[in-house]
Formats: sequence, structure tokens, C-alpha cells
Amino acid sequence: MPTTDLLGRPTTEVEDELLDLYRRCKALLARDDLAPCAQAGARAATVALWNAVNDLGLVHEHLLDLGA
Amino acid sequence: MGVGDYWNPKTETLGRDELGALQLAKLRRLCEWAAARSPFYQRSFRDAGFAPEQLRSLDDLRRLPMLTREQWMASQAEQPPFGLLPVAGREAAIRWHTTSGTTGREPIRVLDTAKDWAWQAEMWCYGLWGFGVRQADTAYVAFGYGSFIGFWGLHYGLEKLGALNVPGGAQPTEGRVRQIVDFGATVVASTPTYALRLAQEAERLGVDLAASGVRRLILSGEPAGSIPQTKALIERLWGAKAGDTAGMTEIGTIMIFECSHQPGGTHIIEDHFIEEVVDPASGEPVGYGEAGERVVTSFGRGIIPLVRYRTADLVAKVPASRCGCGRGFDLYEGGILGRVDDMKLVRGTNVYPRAVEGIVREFPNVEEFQLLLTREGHFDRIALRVEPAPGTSEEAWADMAERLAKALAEAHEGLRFEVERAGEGELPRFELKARRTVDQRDTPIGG
Repeated sequence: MPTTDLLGRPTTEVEDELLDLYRRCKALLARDDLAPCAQAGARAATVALWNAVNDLGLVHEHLLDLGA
Repeated sequence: MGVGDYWNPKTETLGRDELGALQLAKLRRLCEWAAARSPFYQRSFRDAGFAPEQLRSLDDLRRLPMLTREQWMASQAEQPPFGLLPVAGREAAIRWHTTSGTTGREPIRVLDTAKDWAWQAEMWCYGLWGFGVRQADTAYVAFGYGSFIGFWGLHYGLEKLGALNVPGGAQPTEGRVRQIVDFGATVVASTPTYALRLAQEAERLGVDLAASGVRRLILSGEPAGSIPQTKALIERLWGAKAGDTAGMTEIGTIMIFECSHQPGGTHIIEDHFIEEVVDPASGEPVGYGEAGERVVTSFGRGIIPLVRYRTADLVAKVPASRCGCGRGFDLYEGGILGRVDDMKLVRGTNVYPRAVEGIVREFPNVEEFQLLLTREGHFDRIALRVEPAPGTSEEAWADMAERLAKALAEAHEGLRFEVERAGEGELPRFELKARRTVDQRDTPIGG
């Protein structure tokens, strides 16, 4: 299914890759069976990817409910 | 310019219509977020009869009530310590910072989540990259790293873009000068005042900063970074380019930066902020080129939504086309021009501290200065207290004082400034925000 950015423009291949990684990181962070070291790493990775997808106008949301 | 000249080529080069559409999409989400989670905005939106679904164009932004510092402070008093703006408590945060308190008022207390904190570094990356800082740079941060948010975001921004970061930390100015040279810094970050202080100290130590590896200075914290005379002096003393930036604790980071084209103004990071300029009295928008009060809406900090915050900063917006860098971001001509309430009325004449500094900085022999306003009976006095460079003879001082008084009077409708010599080390020195205007008059301005 084609994806669009916040301007309604089709996303590029690189943007799709970033979005996929971001969503997978969020899903990982939402789990309740992560060791503290894994949870901290997942949080850092999610936050880092959030900056990229937010800068590129792909997603605009906050991560408070995921502890970030 | 090529794609590599921008931190975020996709949004930095958007046309104005597309940029506005992106801002509107983010504004809707921000208002939905604030309406759903912030007790302050739930109340203020309700009182204003506003609902997020009313946002159909950016013009609808004006339906939203403005937020003042006084309201924020009242909110803190109502529910200490953070007030009613935050959407969550301290348990959700990883940082707690406060305003610098230079005005002697109760500080604003702010929280940041992990995501908010990373976003603040991201905003600094726009500015650092835009002014030409790259991975190969060694950057020295002349900052005390306290509870004032200051250069914290720059610190992490430098790490993010891969530069070698040297945290200056709390130490004497002499130690910082020696480290800048010994570590081979190519970039130095400080307030404009402290950049001058470092240069003075270097001269005292016999260190030639212009011969050092420093190529760029990142200035922030005071309007002086865009006062042409101050900037020219800093660039001459350091033999380096000086780039102005400005931010505030209320948003946690910078919202404007000067790009490497140095167009005489600072770009607004408009994919992350909406910046309005309004008449301070009426609150109505002013046009390009007109000075007014800066009102900011920030999309980045989730824990404290910030919608139409009246900053009391005085600015004049000009179109993006004023700069040849290719960014679609509008600029503030001359950066932050001062504070809306900066202007002093002395015997019927308006005196702006920024204009005074511009004149004083044309005299390179000035080590430090202070503008002192007093009242004797019904007569206002304005004195410029000057600390000349060590070793200045009485003859040289007399000549400088006469020329200073003349230049100041000519710029102020003949108003007589008393130019007084201060003793060596008598005037205060500043590492963060300088406070060089001291008004000891006991009645309100114009009273």
C-alpha cells in the first residue's frame, strides 16, 4: 500500500525504510518483556528514528505513552 | 547550494505554500494533543471557544488564545512546581531545567522527555550544519553546564552530527583560552559577551586567537550576536566567522540560526515552529520588515505544548528570498533586536541598549561597559560607565570619552550621556546573559 507524507506526497524508498524501522522500534518498545538494557536501547533507537521521520514530515506524534 | 549544505534538504527547501501546509498539519496535531492532555489548554481553549477541528488554514491560528509568561507563572503558582501546561509529571521526564533568572524573577521550570531532549539537539543540528560545522570539526563549548538550558542542546547536537566535542565546563577563563588552543578547537560556542571576554583574556595571556585553528564561533544567549559592530569586533579578534543563533528555555532549544551566507539575519526553523510577529499593544500581525513582538508555536516538545507564546522578543521578519542560500525559511533581520520593554525613556528621548552597544563596540579599546540610569529630583541622568583596556593613559581616555559622548549624542537627538571611567575590573563580567543596563530610577519608564 503506498504511503504519503504529511503533505500528501508519496514517500520515497528510503522514507519507507525509515518508517518501517521506526514502527518496528515502537512495537519493540511497547513490549513488557524487555530486559532493562534492551528497553533502554529500544527507547534510544525509537527516539533517534522519530527525529528522522519527524524532520522528513512523515510522522508527527509524541512518544510519551511509550516512555519517551 | 547542494543537498549536502542543508541538514534537512527536504523541508529546508520547501516552497512557502508547502511549508505552510506542513505547519498546518503539525499545528492540528499539536492542538489535538494539547486539548486532550494539558489542563492549561483544556481551560484556555474552552474559554476562547476554540476546538482543534476549527483549524482549516494557518489563518485560523489567530482563533487560538496567546499565552503570556505571566499566565505560565500563575499556572506554576497554582500547581507547583511545573504548573498546568505539562501533559505529564516529572516521572515521565529525563531533564529538569529552569530559566536563567537574570531578570530576578521567579524562574520558569521545564521538563523534557527523552524524545523532547533529542529533538532539542536536532534543532541545534539545523543551525550548526547550516553555519558549516561538520564532523571533522573540534568544537569547544564555553558553558558552565548548569540548570540553565543554554548550550546543552548544542552539546548533544555536536555529538549527533559527529563533531569532536570538548565541554568547557566550569573553569576560569584563562583555562578555557588555553584549552581552545591546546585542543586545536575549530569551533567555539559561547555568548557574544563571553567571546569578547575570551579574546580579552587571550590578549592578556599573549595568545593570538586569530592565529589559532578557530574558524567558526557559534553565538547565542544575547541579541549582541547580530549587532553588526559587536559581531565585526568578535570576528576580528578571533579571525573567525561568527554565526548568531537564539533560543529560549520555554521551547528548550534554538528556533533561529544564521546560515553560512551570513545574510544579516537568522533563518527561522519553520518546519518545527510557527513564528508570528505582532504589534505588542494590539496583538495584531505586522508585515514583513516591521518590528514587533515574536510569538512562537513549537511542535517539538511534547511534554509542554507551546501554542502562541508571547516572548517579548523584538524582531522584524523578512522573506526567505533575502538570503541566497536556497532555504525557504524566512529570516529575522538582525536576529533578536532586543526586548519589547528594552527601550528607556530619558528626558523625552528613546534609548535602546542595542543601539548604544553598537556605538560602544566601534571603540575597540573598551574592555567592558555599563549603561547607568539614575534620577536626581526631576532630572534623569544617563551615564555610560566604561572600563578601558588596561594601560590606557589619561590622555587616550579623555580622547575616547569625548568621541564616545559625541557619537552617543548624535545618535540620540543630542541627549547628553555622561561618559565615566570605571576602574580596572570594577564592572561586572558575564558568562551567560549580560546585564549592562542598570536603571535605578524609582518610577516607571515615562512616569
